[in-house]
Amino acid sequence: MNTFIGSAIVILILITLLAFAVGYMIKQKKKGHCATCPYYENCEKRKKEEH
Amino acid sequence: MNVSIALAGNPNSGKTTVFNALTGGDQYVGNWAGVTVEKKTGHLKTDKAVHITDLPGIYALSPYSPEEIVSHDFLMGKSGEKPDVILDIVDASNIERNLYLTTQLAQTGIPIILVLNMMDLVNRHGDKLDAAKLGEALGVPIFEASALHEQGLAEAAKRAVEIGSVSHKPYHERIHVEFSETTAKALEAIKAVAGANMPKTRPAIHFAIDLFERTASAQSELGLSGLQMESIEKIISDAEKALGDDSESIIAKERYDYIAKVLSTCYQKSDRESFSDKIDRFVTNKYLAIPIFAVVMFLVYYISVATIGAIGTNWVNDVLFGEWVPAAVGDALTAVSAAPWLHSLIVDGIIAGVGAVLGFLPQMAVLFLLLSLLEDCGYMSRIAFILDRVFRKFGLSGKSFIPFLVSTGCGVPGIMAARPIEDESQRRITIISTTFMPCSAKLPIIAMIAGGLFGNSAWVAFSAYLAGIAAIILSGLILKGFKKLKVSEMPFVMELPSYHAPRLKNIFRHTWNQLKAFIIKAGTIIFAASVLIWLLSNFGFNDGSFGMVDSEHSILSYIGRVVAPLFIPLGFGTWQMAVASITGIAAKENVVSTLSVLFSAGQGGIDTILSSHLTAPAAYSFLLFNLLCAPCFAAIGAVRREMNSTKWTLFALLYQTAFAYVVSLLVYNIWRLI
Repeated sequence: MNTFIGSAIVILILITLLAFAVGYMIKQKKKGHCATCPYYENCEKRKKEEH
Repeated sequence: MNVSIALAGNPNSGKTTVFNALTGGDQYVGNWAGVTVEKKTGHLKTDKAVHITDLPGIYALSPYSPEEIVSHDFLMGKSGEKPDVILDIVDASNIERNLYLTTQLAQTGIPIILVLNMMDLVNRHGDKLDAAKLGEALGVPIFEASALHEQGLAEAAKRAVEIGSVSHKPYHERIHVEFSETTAKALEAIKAVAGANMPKTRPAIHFAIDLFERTASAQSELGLSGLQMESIEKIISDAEKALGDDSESIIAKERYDYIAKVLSTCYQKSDRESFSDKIDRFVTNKYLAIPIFAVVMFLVYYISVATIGAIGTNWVNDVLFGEWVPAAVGDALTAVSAAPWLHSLIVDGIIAGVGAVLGFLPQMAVLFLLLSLLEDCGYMSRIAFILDRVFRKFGLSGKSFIPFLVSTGCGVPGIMAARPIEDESQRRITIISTTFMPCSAKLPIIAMIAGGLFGNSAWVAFSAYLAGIAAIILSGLILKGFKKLKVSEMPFVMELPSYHAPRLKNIFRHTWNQLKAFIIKAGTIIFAASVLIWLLSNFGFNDGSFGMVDSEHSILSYIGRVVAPLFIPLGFGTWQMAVASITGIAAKENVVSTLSVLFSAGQGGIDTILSSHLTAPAAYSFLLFNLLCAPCFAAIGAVRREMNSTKWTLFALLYQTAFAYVVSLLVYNIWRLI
């Protein structure tokens, strides 16, 4: 495999992983202070605020 | 048909354990009062149409603290929804106090089912409680249960669904508190004055009790005229004069008299000293308490950082991320003929950065396990009680200890756990100080310094914990001197739960949740940060052209050199250490991953490399600065929300950073002289 193709594959994989990481960080940012809360899924207050 | 069940009861009576058992939920069960600060909802495992709401624990329905307001408003239907039935979770080992709330729950007009929880403790202690007679005396369905062992809950839930599903006669009429003649006459008189204003949502007598207690929400709900209010006030004053007490105390006393009368027919307390009381004679002893606490915490850090945890960490750092992973990934990259710079990015950047952080996972796992064990068996709540005596001298109270303890996991819930503190100044001081406690994200920094310069000594980790407590105490003294943070004396009343064997399922679940969050963070934030740090430390300008350069000429080094002089007095004035401290603001673990990338820590591990760059005093100063300075973005966001003020948030951050700077300065320079 030549260097260009090999590097391109690796770069693609890296970009995909980075996209997941950045997407996760954006999702956490949207959660705000609730990001680390273990009750997030069932939080009544959050559901009301979202509605 | 949809049925809504509310779980109400005193703090630490087992509501969340019941909630988890009925819903199959995974909610956090902490072994101290005040863990649940917001209500949570789930569905019954066996019937999705049944909604179960776990409310924060309250001692009474007179709302005082924020979590009591949440429970009160929900039960009174103020949040727009009212439950169909209440499962009143009563701690049978503290039945008298728990039944006080039961008599008030009857005022809501919602049917009640009593669940006598912790019956195993009652039996073990030798107390005798006849549940059937108690249910008959109160006039409500009653079930014996042990939420811990999931006994008796299914039957209680089934009955709750039956009652909630059909229209029925409200049960509140059956918990008929017998008031004294004077009080009963006063209540009848109030009914006569305000009866026409009382809606049919609940019996008039309960509105009358609220008015007699001068409850503001009842007064506004009924829309009474000035004349009516005057008449009612006269009735109350006459009763207070006759009985020689204020109206709230009169009602409270008569409720307890009623409870005592009911219990005299069905409850006999044993004279034996309980197992918990026997242990507490030592653990909360005036002289032994703090030394015992110090020994326990030292052992926790010794086992997790210096011995068992260290074995795991050494293997992960030296073998897994030192040899296997770099070799395997390097071979794979060679096989696909990836460019050398990519090789460097992945091996020296990502693997070095993420691996450095994940390397400390074994130590963190053991630490979380041991802390969960201490909390679950009931010891941690004793510490709040012990430290109240000490904290009070410094403008804090034992109630502040709960946020500090929660912060050893993560600062965000720790900051939020300050909500139940009633005094505004004490709450602000607690919020400002709470991130001084080493959170799980700071553990890699502690382990890195302990491993690199102090031979994995448990004293380093233990001293970091002590430094956090000392910083909190000192801050209490400093901050209460500010006019806007004047603290008023608040009583500290706290329930000590009975000791019990730790629940392994709970401990492992709690430990796994913390580790999972840590691993996810490493795979996302630390991963992205490692890529960014590698890019910034390997690219820059050289001879006017932009491209790959050595780290000394990189973009990052130029940024670092602007800030580094500030850290010279602290002993770590190099651009690498400065940059590492700055990246800690995104996530504290970044400090370790940044250093690992910048020093290209591979096989040796960052802790080994660091020993050639820092002296012991400089390393410890670096540790203290990063432990005590402004926390990560997530915690800053939590501070902003809980303070509800940008001005106070900025003050908190400036104070924390200045405090960290001064402490590091003093420690470094004094240590050098010794």
